[in-house]
Amino acid sequence: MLLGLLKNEFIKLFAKKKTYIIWGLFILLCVMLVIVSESSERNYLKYSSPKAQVENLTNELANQETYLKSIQNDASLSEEDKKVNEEQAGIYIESLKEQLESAKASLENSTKMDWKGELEARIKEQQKTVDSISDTDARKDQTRELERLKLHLANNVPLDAENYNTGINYYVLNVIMIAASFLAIGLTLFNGDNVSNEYNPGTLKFLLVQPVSRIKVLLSKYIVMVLSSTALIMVTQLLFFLGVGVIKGFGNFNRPYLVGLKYEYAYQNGQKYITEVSGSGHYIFLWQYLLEALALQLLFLIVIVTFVLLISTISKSSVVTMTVLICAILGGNIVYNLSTTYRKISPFIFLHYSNIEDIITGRIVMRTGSFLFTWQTVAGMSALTAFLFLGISLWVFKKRDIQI
Amino acid sequence: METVLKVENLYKNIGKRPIIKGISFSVKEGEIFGFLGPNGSGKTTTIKMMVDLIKMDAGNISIMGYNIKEKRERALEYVGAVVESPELYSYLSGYENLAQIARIRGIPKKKIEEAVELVGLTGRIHDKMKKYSLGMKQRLGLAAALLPDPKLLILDEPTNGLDPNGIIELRNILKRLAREYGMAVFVSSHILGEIQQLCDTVAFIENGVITSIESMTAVHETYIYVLETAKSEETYKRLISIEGIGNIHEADNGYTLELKDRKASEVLRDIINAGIEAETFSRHLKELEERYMELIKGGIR
Repeated sequence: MLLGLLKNEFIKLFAKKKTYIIWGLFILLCVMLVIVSESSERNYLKYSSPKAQVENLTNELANQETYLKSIQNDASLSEEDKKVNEEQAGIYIESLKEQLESAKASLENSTKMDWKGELEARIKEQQKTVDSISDTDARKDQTRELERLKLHLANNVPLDAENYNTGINYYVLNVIMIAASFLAIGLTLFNGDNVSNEYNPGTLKFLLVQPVSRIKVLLSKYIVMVLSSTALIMVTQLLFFLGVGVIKGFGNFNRPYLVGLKYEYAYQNGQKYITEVSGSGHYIFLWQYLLEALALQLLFLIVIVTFVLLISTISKSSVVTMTVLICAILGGNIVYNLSTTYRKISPFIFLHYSNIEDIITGRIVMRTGSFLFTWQTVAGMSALTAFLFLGISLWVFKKRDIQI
Repeated sequence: METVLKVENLYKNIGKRPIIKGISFSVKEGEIFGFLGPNGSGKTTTIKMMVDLIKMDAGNISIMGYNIKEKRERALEYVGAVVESPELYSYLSGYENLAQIARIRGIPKKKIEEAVELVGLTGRIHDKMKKYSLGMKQRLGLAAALLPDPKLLILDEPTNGLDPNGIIELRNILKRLAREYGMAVFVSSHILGEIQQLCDTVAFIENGVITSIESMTAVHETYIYVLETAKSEETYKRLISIEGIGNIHEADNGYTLELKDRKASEVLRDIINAGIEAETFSRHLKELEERYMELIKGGIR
């Protein structure tokens, strides 16, 4: 019977135009993220790669030499001004020449695919830095950086791997950006009227005069809401990851990623503030980071869908449901940005579990001022909140008189 | 005959206002039971309690012996119902709407086709429901209610939106289901003609109280005729003295006469023999309406 109800709910979902419109919008958003990721890579290659640096420096050198000639031929300048300007331009040109030599050497190394040699050299330099530092805190920070460099080398990951539009880099970007910007509102639009639209018109009456318990009716709706939302968001993301991966390469899954930063109170001039514990945190591989991000995204998705179910069950009107949900999401964010006190209690409010990157890295503590904002709190509170909301929804739905 | 539906001492308050005040009735196998009352009298509230859309404050409802409070799903297995307007999913086809119910109840597809044919929607069943007229929606609602071969069919104002042909067809379908399949049919309506022509038993409800439950056969046995003649005290006295005339009430152009135990032709002959100038003498077509007015409105006016 529950299977029949589930099938019914899926058929209803896919018979609605709204489903395809929201899916289309999400696909569009994913395409926009591909464009953003691609243009970031191009910008990197244009302005930051060794080849781009050689080109830029060559152009700048040519410009400065032209400028130097123009100063020498400028009759309007006094001899004294000419001398000063020529001196300054000369120093700058010399500096550019040095930079150009260095960039050319770097380009030569990179074309020989000897980024490893360069990285080994950098590791040696970093080791020297670590050894030379006497300050304990600074030493810890530098040791952490040394560890990062060694992990890159050990796992065969170039240092600039994060700058390319590869499958895994895109996937991480997509999960982080979608959770932070689209998920709550998107899920509200997708699921907001799932129960309330059965009240008006009163199709719910037809459903509830069938010999099936109200609990099963609402549970079937909830299960389909969770499954369809997961498919809408996470399957689409996976397909885009595969698409970008096939075209651009899947990238380095073992790139080290710093997470689990710790913070502590420090005092300066009588004021208390939060500061990062030197050398805190540890490195995990990018694929591990991605899995954690996906798990947090799924938890956030479930708790938001359960919240939508609760409001949709209570309100009986799709318009009221949408208004309440959007006000709660936007209002919560406004208060979060304005109130320090609210930010401190935000670890216990599910609406603020969308900043997945900061939750995993630990930086969320710095943003909110609450040491309780950890992924463990987020996971526990998400489960508790979802359980509570689902329980209330089922109770209301079971007990309510259907006066429609 | 087996009792299909039994309602005992049913009470319901909405807020602090009592809506249903201790009603009781029962419907037997093969019986078409009319539930007649003005708007706001408590008809739909009673139906909603019968199918557990709303909870009763006190009382008992059992369907095929299963208490709706304790064995809700078991009781509803025997019920097909259309409560108020037949609202189904407008973005689905008529067929898919029926398939939704079939899936929940585990009914084979063949039954869907039979129900569609029975209500005369075969040609349009694969159209989206939003393209249906109100009459077609009523037919689809009826098909949905008939799909599980219910022991108890509950219909709330079933002729709303039906054209005269549709009303006649519906009446014939319901009579056939009751007579041939022993289905108990519960029909609520405020349309007297509908109840009069369809039902075996009628319950009159007003302000949440059932004022009377009567067999339609008994109602029909009390014939009311309209005698069009000049009204005078003398005429009234002569009419009273004629055998077979029960109650006499003044009407616009004469009198209404309640006949008992005598043929109308015999009474008419006596009226003429008594020297009363009868312009017309016709059987009153609204006998249930008279009864309705007596019970609901406190007497014939």
